[in-house]
Amino acid sequence: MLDAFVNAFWILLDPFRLLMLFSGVAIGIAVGILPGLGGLMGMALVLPFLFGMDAYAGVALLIGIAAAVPSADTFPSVLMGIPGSSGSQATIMDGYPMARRGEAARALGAAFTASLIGGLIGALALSAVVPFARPLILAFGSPELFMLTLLGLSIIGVLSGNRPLKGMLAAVAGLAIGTVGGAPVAAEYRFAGDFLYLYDGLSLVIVALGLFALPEIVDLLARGGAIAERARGLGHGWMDGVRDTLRHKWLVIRHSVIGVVIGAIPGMGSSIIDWVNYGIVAQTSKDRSRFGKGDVRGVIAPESANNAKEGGVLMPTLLFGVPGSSAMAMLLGALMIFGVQPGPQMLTRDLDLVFVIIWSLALANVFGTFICLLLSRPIARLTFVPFHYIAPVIIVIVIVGAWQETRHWADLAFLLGFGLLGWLMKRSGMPRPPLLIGFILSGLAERYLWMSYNLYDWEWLTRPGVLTIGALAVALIVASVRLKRNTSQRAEAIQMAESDKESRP
Amino acid sequence: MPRTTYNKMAAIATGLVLGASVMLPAAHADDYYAGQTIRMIIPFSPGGGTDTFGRLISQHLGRHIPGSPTIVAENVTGAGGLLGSNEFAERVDHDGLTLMTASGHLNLRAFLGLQGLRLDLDALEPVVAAPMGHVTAISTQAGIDDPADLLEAQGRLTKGITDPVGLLESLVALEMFELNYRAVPGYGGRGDTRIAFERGELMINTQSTPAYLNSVQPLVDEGMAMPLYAIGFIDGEGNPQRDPAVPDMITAPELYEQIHGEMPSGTIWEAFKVTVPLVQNTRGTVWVHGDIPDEAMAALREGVEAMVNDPEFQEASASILEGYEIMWGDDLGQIKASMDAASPEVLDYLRDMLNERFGTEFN
Repeated sequence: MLDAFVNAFWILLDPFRLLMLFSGVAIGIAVGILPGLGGLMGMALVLPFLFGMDAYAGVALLIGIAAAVPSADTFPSVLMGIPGSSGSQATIMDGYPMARRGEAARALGAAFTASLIGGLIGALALSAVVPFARPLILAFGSPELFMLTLLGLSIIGVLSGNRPLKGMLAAVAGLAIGTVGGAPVAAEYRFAGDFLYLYDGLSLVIVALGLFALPEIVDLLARGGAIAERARGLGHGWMDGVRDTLRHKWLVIRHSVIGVVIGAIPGMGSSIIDWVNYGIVAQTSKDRSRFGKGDVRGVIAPESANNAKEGGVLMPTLLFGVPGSSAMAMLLGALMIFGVQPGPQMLTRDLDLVFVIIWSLALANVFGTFICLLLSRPIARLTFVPFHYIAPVIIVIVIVGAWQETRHWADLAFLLGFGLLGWLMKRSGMPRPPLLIGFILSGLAERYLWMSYNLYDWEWLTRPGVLTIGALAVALIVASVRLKRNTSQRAEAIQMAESDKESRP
Repeated sequence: MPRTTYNKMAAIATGLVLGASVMLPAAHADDYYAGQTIRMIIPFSPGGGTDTFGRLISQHLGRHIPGSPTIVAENVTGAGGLLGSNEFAERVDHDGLTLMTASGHLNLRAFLGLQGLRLDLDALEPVVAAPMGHVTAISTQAGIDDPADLLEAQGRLTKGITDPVGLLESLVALEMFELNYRAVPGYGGRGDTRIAFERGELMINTQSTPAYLNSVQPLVDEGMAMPLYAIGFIDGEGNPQRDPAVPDMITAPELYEQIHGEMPSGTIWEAFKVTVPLVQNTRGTVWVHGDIPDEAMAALREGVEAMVNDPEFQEASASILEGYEIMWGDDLGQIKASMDAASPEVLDYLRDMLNERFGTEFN
């Protein structure tokens, strides 16, 4: 094992393979920065070049992309309040308020350092856990996965501030919007009519861009001026952010581990990971008054989990050939091109390749963070430029990001529709994250509920895993209600932060 | 003498004319694709098995077609392949400049007339295809240790369903045995059913043969599962054939014969014989519109023949085909022959089964 570990490092040091890894990181950073484009897009771009490449170089290229995206997608989330890819939605919650306070560089510094440490923990966990990951993956059957979706829904309370009713309403709307399209367990298409575009349901990218990007752009333009409201200069630079992250090292480690574990459970999808981690950090911190207002911990938690999860999603991908995320499905396709069948035997037959993947993951995180840190100073200056100079570019990028989903005219129609919905919600003080979470979990909850019933009738309710996760969800809800009653302080703070954003004309 | 000379001259002239006329289609074909770009529609997202096959062909076919056109693969995704297929069916010119890579599942959907799909396979011609066999295994929890005891299997015989139409060949096989199984729809892919099978959630599992060898065989070795049968292939005369990737494994019709003492018969057997050749091209079938100009069709056929004989292609395709031979030329006839052989009763039987069990709607 140790032999292969060291051997793989030397394999990766080959100049061409290192070049490929670098190219992957560069592509990953580019697609990460552009809102709406993610690792999936980056990998699809390079897929044609894989034919004829050796497996190690090809894997280095793909992992380079996968590892760099969750670092780079922080830029638009923090600087503009626009999700850079589905993995950094929650970073908006505190990162964007920091940028508006003129602390963009600090938020980015903290985020990238957290990303780096998270990514390395992910790689470490993958190498340590690879021999033992099977029981973890096998422990989650359909009933347990259903309970996990309920656990995900229970964090909605945390994200709704002192407006739990509005939050629930938004979540229910999200659940309903998530039912559009092909039903998960029946050959039936809902609310689609003869409009084939809707057969697949609505795309997460379009919903997220519409809800968060368009309203922000409209309001910034209406207000005039730059994104950063207080021109403090770049005094609060990225070194402050790096120090922030190092000061909260236990937080980084805890959320990296959570990221790895949730990532490793196949069937949950990785787009919920950042929200879960944000919910946890906002719920468990002692002083919670500044969450939603620009608390650096609200950036550190999702960002460390976000990079660590790549180590997690690789576990089912490599051990079972079951893609842990859509980008990993692409990696599986690539492995097939190289004639490598993922599965338990990879650990004996292709151990070198497994460790090349792990090393690529670690090195790509280091390169990626380094490049992002270098870029963060010049890019953070954008927040001090009058917004009407950059708005046209951002609008074009957002539209292209939505358009590449299926290149159907309806992509743009729904982008506009959700933009309008998001703007109305923002104006009326209805929190938007619960809608997004309801949308993400809708199909999963329905799928696993029916599967549990079909498999076990009602006996599934008594399974120990189901009861444990159920108790956890109840505890989370009760705790959030009780803590809220005791300290209305935090709620007020969130409200202030939101109205802060909204009240400024 | 002058006369003979004349005759000779005439003969030579005739020969030249004949030669030229023989050369003519080739020259035309050469002209047809020279400097052109062929678009290859792949109605699935990048990275899957069908996509990989489509991209392999896009990469190699172009330079073998006279005139060396460029082939550009394009993933037109959405609605489980419906958007891309409908675009190919209705919105492209029938000039041979657009091809489509379909999966076996998509072929079957089109054949059965799934609601929303407007692809008519009768109007298309297969250009090249790649087959893929499947193996069904059962968990040892079912309490049997010989495939011949299949009908005595105990417990909830759960079978994971990803997409009922896509799994039709394995469902028809189970129906053929009249096994009382419980279908559980909702699984994301065959890989997910494989995990659920190892977890003990599913008792019956069908995988593509390479995936079986790679990920289910280890469970068999650990004593957690037992292979039941390979779906196998059907030859030109309608007889079962062993799966070349697992030649020692009994096929479903053979197992039926072993249990019942006679080969399966009736509508279900006809349904099996129709379904298997259509769906076992799971890896991919490249289609072109049947009414493209003759010289374009000739150039495509010529290109495919040159491609499959090119050592570079053979080397590149070996790992992707996973032990199966590429289908081209006359062999492709099987795909259409199996569709032509299907009687209306067989079609109704298959549609009714899918509709009753899963609520699938057809046109």
